[in-house]
Amino acid sequence: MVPDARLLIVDDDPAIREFLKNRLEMEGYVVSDAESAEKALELLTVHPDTDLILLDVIMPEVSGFDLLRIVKKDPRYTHIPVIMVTALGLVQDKELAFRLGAGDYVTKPFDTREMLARVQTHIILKKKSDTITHTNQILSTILATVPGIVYMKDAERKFLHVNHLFEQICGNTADQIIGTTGDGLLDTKLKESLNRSEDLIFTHGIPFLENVEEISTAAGESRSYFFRRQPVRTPEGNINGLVGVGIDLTEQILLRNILSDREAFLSTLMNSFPARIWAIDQEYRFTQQNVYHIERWGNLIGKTVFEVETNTSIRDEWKKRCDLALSGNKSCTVYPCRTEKGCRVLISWIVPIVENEVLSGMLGITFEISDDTIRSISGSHDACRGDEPAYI
Amino acid sequence: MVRVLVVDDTRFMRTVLVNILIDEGIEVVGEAEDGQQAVELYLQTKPDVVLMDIIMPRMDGMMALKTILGINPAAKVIMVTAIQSIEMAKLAFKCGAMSYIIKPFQKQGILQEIEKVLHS
Repeated sequence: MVPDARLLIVDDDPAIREFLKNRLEMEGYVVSDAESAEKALELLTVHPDTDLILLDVIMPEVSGFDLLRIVKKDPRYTHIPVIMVTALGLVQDKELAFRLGAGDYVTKPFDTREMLARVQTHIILKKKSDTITHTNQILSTILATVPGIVYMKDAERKFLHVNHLFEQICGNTADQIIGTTGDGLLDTKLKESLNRSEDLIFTHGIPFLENVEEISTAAGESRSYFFRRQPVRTPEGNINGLVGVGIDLTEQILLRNILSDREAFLSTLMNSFPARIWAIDQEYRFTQQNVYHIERWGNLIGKTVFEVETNTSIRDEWKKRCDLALSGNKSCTVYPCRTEKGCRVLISWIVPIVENEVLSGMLGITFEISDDTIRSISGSHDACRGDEPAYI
Repeated sequence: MVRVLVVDDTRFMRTVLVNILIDEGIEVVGEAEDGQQAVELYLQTKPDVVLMDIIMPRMDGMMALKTILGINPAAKVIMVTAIQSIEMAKLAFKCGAMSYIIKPFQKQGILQEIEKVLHS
């Protein structure tokens, strides 16, 4: 199949121009023609997207070789392939043409079918090269835009590529880094750490690795980077390098550590406070339970209060009090109970949980004071001198 | 004999877990104090079960979980964490964890979960 393409014929002989133009248009190409180098350059300015130039060598004023020289030196046109079409068949002429950057050389008289085949081949190659150039442009834009470090190493662990941010952080230019393993360029601690992580990929062949590296930047700042590394494999499956991407998560990690400290504090508080503590969301579903609550009721996370095995009157009472909390009210109720085992008093608080001024659920705390508790308190009370307050 | 790798950044928690396991005759093949060490020890020891904390420096439990499953999709990893969050548990299961235990845990709870994942 003939690809869509724009061609330019440059020849001072109108008969050849017309013949070639007609023949190539029959193939489906868009063809312009110029009788001189000057006209050819004019047409190139209008159509910089020209895919192929067919260029005669012998022309009055500016010769084909001179035009070839001009085209190949101009960054706007240097990528356009040129086929020289000429009656000059000397090896020296051909050699000169190729040295100046011609893609092919056809001597007149030529076989039309052969000419068409050559044109098609060069256009296909030009289209492929356009695609590669385009892909490279996209890739380099991505590499420049990624808000993080990007680097690539070969099988000897030498840097093949580093992006701008990598240069900034280690305070060296890409030229200084590429081709080295990073010796003397990277912070020793960082280098050891990178080696340790990369060992897992190069030596053990694991499919990817995610971790957090502490990096001392060239500016003397310590930053935490989340890294993901993946091996680059040959079509046969052998590892011949790796790609690493790192995103600065210093602030997020700091925040996570603060939250995790708070979580640890809350979890200690919840599980050492001698009360049953629980929380439910707006759908009456348990979201939190401390150990004492689990001990009494079993694991209820994800279940609703209506699914708890107990009698209807207790469940109705819970529902009533949860509704009270869901409408934003705190409540505290004391339940005196008498069972076969003795007397006990339950003191139960239910309070609404408000997050960012929005009610998201409720929290319950239940103390149980049994005969035993009261006995132990009164026992210690006996030991008091009487003028001290009794702590319960 | 069941072989278990214990991963937690606090020495105390590792000791508690190791003692529980040893008392039951379970072999502890290694102790790791962060996710990356866990991955390294996993490669070396190929344990039957990994007990994995979540919040750890350098490489957290979720990253380590994903990496270990990348090495061996059949790896049996139990998350052992103080994070009482359904969302976190869902995420862990989605990433391939076999079980999710909340600290503080009961000795029996740990042993039951190990037993359960071994037979799943």
